[in-house]
Amino acid sequence: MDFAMMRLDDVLLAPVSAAMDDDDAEAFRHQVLTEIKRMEASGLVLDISGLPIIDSFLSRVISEIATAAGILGARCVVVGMRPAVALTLLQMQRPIAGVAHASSLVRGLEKLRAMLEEDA
Amino acid sequence: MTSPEARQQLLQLLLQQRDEVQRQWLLNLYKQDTNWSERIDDSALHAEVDTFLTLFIDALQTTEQWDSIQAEAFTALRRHLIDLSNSRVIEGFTPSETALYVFALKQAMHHMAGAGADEKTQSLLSELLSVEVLLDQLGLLTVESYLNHREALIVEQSATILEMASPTLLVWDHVVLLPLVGVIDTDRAQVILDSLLTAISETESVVAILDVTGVPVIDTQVAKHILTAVEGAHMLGASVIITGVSVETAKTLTKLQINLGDVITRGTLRAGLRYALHLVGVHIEKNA
Repeated sequence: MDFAMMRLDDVLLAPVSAAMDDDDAEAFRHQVLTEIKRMEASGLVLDISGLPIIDSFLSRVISEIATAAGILGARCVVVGMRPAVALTLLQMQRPIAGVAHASSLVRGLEKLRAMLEEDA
Repeated sequence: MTSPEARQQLLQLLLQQRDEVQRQWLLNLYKQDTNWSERIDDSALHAEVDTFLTLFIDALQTTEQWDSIQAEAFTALRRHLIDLSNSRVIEGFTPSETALYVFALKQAMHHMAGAGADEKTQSLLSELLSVEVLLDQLGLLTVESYLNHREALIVEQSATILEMASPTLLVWDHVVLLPLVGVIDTDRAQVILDSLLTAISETESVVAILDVTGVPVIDTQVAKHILTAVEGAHMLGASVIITGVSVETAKTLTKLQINLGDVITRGTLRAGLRYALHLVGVHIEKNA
């Protein structure tokens, strides 16, 4: 499976699709990290606005991608989480913590720029 | 018309036949739809019936006033029945089932009174009893409907209170305020969390102010709910500022060693709002 991703200067934009099963999630993780390495990205935006629900596996994969991206030198922002998804994660007591979040793509990019400026 | 002789006669009969009355009462109970044997321990039910009869006969022997249970002599019996009803509530019996427990004794008494009578009187008594049972059931229907309706009202009212108690206000562009009022239990925490996340998402807020001025106590449990809300808001890309923390609360939190972590807190709503505006890059100054 090949996932659609977009490059904005040194930032990789990766939308998480709703219809991902566990294998797809692994493939997605691999593709995102490979792409970060290849383009020497300094930022990653994971867009999860297309997710109406979430399970514990996918939430873990998302946190792990964020951490792994950091190791590869890219700061990560998760954008567009729906309230229902946040509620589910809180109920499972598995919030996606330790990563920046933003409500929309635009705000996410703003936040990422601010973070990168801080790093510089 | 009451006559002392008849009353004495009945009392004597009751004293003589006590065991038989008790047996009949239990038989009647087991005939009811209530399914006593499955819902209450047999020996417990026997003990309850026995206690009731003892207190009942005692009361009848003590007083001449048989027309009102408010008489002094019935105090112990009343107390027994109130305790019994309270435990029936906890055990999940309906009001009717609880009342029919006592009504079953009436049938047993009828049985006892009619035992010596001729056939004609007996059949008349039995018909009378059927009508009485019908009337009891009709009376219970009114009680049951009354209670059901009142319960529905209470449920409706608590839902309204729950809703009213967690409004969300957009106080500035991308700054939402939730004034929390009253005790925060788990149910309310869920409602608050829900309205917080919905409000952040709908208003695209980047800062949410939770004002706890109206929350009387913040203990470990409430602090946990607040931290959950902070986490939830964070996942939607919003920061949370807790405002209106009282001196008492600050003392409690430190004494209980509750760690609010990196949560931004301010003593007053005003200070919180100022900080929120700073976060969204708004600068306010007086007209020159």
